[in-house]
Amino acid sequence: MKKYILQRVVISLVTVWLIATCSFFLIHALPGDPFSTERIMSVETKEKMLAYYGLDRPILEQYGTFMKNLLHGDFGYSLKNPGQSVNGIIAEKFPVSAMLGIMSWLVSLPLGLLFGILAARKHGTAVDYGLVAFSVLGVSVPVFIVASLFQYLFAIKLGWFPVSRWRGWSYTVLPVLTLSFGSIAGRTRSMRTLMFEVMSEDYVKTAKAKGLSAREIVWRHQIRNAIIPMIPTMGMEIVGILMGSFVVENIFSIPGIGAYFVTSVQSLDYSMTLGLTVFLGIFVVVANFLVDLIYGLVDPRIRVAK
Amino acid sequence: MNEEVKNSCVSASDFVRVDRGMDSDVIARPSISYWKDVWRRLKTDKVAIICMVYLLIVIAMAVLAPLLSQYSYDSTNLSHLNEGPSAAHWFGTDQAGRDLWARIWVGARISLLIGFGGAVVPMIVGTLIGGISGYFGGWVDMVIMRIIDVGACIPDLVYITLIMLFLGAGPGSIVIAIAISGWMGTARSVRGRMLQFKNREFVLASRTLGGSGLHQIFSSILPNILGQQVVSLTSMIPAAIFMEAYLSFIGLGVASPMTSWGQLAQTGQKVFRQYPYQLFIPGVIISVTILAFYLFGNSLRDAMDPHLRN
Repeated sequence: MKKYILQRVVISLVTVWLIATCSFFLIHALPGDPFSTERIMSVETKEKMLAYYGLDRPILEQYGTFMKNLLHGDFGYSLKNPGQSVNGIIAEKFPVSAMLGIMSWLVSLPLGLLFGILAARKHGTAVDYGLVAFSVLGVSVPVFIVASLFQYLFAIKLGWFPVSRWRGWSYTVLPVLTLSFGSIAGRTRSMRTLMFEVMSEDYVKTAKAKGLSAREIVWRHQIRNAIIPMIPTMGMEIVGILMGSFVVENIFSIPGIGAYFVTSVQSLDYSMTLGLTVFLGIFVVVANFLVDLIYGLVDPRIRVAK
Repeated sequence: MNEEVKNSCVSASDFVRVDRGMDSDVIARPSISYWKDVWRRLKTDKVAIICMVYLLIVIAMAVLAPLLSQYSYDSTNLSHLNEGPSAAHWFGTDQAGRDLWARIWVGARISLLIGFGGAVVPMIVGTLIGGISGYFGGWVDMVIMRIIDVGACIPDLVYITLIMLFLGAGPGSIVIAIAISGWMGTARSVRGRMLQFKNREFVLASRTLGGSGLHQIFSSILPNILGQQVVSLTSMIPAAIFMEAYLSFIGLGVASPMTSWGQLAQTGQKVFRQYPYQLFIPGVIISVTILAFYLFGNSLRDAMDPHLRN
């Protein structure tokens, strides 16, 4: 187990370094500079600006500074939001995105598992068909369609929830529902399949032969074993929710990190794009690392195999 | 026992001896190849046929509709802004007065091209690399698998953002971006299958007969894993269409006046409170197409391997 953790730590560190380095050089290789999109600026001012941010130095020197600051957890200052540090923007905006993500995860996990188990238990009935139809639809409809549909139906037509913004609990309902919609559908589908797969395992047959009741078999043997293969997919799920949140934040005017990411990419704000890419990269890498660790802890068979 | 035989009403004369002549080797029915067999099973699946017909119609429309329409996808008409669907403009017009019927089907060309390209390119790259990795093993395998270990940890979003920035928005860069993040999954699964097959008898036979490494990969092993690859292709196509829609939606995809389904949905979303049809028409078409690909993929998987059916 120790060796496995060490190996994973090394891979994660290499990944983070690779993300930072590739992002740095790709962004600096882009045509144009951060100030060329702005309103006309005299050559001197532009040179002063470039010098101020250190963008006139040799690229390797800039890279050295960037890596040194990165090791201290410092992403530098935003070029397009004067006076604001990238760390400051992340500290201010990321909690909103994180809360949105965590809430969606907390909604989608139990609901998805429940629907999956329900569909498998009621196999061949109307409940099963309904849930299967929902799960197939849920993975085919893009998140911005779901978002607009929910907004149109529940906020504009029915007026149950506020249309947009982020000012209290009632504002969170529609974004969270939208964001969890796809994950619930995906989870329902895989949990249903896993329940069927487990059903033909020897230990379930043994449990039946021992005379356990159907309820006990489902709870003590089927569900426990069916959940295990769901764990490694959680890493993917986190990325999915993160990507979905960019769209949802845009549609529901939520002041999260997503809007900053998109605008900084489009306006060539080097330090913002770099900072956010590396930050989100580290976030996903750490999440995947934790998920793998949990997987190894929960299922002893994985440890042996590795 | 003998009693029974004697008492039964079947006599020896009821049996006719089969002529052991020349034509005992004749095969009574035409032989059925694997793909014919798959097609025979697929034909009986109603869902698969409906999806296939739908997809063929969409493809045909993408090819033909822009040619037949009297409107061009990028010609603006300022006297017909934001008009709802009518006899003149079947899907209405957008905020620049462009005909949405023409735009939807031009967009379909781009979205479908990205769908197929974004599935086929990573599939080919992944199969090649995974095949080499699995077949040769040793340090080649080690290096490739470590690269994939690290590469798979990097979120797709990071790759895609950087590549879109570097190459500029456009269908080609979307395909490249999807390919760069997508080949690794295919490579892993092909490598696994390769390890399964490389010591099977027919591959050993090929090796004994002097087949080179590449010959063994291409003519002995790949045909065996082709079925599985086709099935995963049918799930990669909708994923690529989905990705295109997502990227265009956050402004990293196809730029106006060129259009795609994602881009149409994005412009529609901005005005959907006033003109809902501008979002819902492309939205429904994207969703139904993705749905059709998924369902068709499921049916194809069942038809190829009836054991998997649940």
